[in-house]
Amino acid sequence: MKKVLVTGMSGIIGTVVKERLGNLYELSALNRRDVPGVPTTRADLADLEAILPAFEGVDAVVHLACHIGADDEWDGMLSTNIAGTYNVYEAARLAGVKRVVYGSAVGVVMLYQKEEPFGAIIDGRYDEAPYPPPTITRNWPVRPFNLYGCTKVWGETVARYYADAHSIPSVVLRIGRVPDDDRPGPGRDRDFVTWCSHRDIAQAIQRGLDAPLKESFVVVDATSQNKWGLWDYAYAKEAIGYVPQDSADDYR
Amino acid sequence: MQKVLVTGMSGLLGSLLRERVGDRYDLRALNRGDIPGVPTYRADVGDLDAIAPAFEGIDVVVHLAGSMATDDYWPELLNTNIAGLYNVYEAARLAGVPRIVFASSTSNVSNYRTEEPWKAIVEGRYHDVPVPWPIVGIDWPVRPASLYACTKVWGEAIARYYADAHGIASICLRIGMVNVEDRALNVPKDYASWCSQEDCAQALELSLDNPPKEKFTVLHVLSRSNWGFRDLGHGKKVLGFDPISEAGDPALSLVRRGTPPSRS
Repeated sequence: MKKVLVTGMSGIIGTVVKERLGNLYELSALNRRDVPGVPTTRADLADLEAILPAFEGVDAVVHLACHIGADDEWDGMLSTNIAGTYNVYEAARLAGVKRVVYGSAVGVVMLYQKEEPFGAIIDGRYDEAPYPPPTITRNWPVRPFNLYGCTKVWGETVARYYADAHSIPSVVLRIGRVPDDDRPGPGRDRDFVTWCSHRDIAQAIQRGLDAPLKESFVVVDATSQNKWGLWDYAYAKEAIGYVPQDSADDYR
Repeated sequence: MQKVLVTGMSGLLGSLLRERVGDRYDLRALNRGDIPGVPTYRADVGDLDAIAPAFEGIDVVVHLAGSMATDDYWPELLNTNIAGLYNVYEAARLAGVPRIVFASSTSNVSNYRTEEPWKAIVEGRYHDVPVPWPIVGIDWPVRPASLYACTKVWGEAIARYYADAHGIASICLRIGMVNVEDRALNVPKDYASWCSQEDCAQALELSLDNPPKEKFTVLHVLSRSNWGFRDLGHGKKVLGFDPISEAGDPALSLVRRGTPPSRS
């Protein structure tokens, strides 16, 4: 059984991993507080020395821990998302971890909404948009939605560099919105673009951990199969075999 | 006269800028040490409160300050290139500065050289290079060659975001290797990434004299080379940047290795 270290397991997606993938892997947690039922190393990601022991003997890391906040929460994002993500890759390198699944966010490209037809689609003005919608691919320049999105660009960049320089393969998942109640929010038009169900994010992470990789760095969109999704579902299938089963449109 | 705040003026690029445009712009320095002959606000870019006053009444910021440290010096990169760059954009936003010229780096895409045929180019195996070879476009996914390069990608992401969210126009100059010797030293590797002082100064000057209409621009700033593999056409189009120097003496060095493929 693969040994998988999960950072941020106390969060919504981390909880999904624990509940839905706990029988497939030998899970451990790197978390600030204890995760019930899972061996937990309690430490702050900003402290490389403190987190190092958690990486010993681990086959793969799922790095989900992050500070999600508004732009005025820079200190938290600097510490957790920037220094923290660098520390996770450094610790993985020092411990010889063979794969990292990095929880990025569709927020790295969401400001394409300033241009049409993306704005119309994200605002739900469907009569002004072509169908099928255009696809924002991993090869497009980033267009971060907020400072948080910028910090996710940082994480993707470090992942790219560590794949090249230190041969640590990364599967970068650009994750959509995964709400606690597992359904798109009423009145949230953008959820019909970005929503990702618990079942689908679990599948994406599982594929990210197990899929054979043709390249040492892949960037995959991880949302449900939404009718107005702007995402590259074909590449997600090709690169790691991720095929979402749910759709936000079933909740309209 | 436009008021231009220059960070890192004590470095080589800062000197080039000062020589080139010092008589036409009202230059101020934000620097850790004093710059003789230039009004200097002394502070560390890692400290937002300390640097904020330097931005009052400024028309353009030229952000050159940055650590070029190797991967071993992460705390320095974190403080100067990551927090420092964010602080510069924040200070500009708070003071209402409308435009920033950011010294990014060609190393953002240098690790394409880990793959063929770019690998053959930097290793000087010119007969293994197909003609024409693929040119790395300005909109290609990044391929940073160091932690330093990763921090420059960060800078471009912040520049992109502040253009969208706060209307601050940015020109990101992905500058090649500019050195005191003013020639490519480590050949053949450096042919593709070297930038003369003259060409670098031209790009900085154009960024002040002739800024693009777009709120966000990225371009490669390099000298000409028979073995270049980064796009120069975009910079010519958006900024009028047209390098005049040649990296080393390519004709000579290529003859020694046999018949060079000509690049159309």
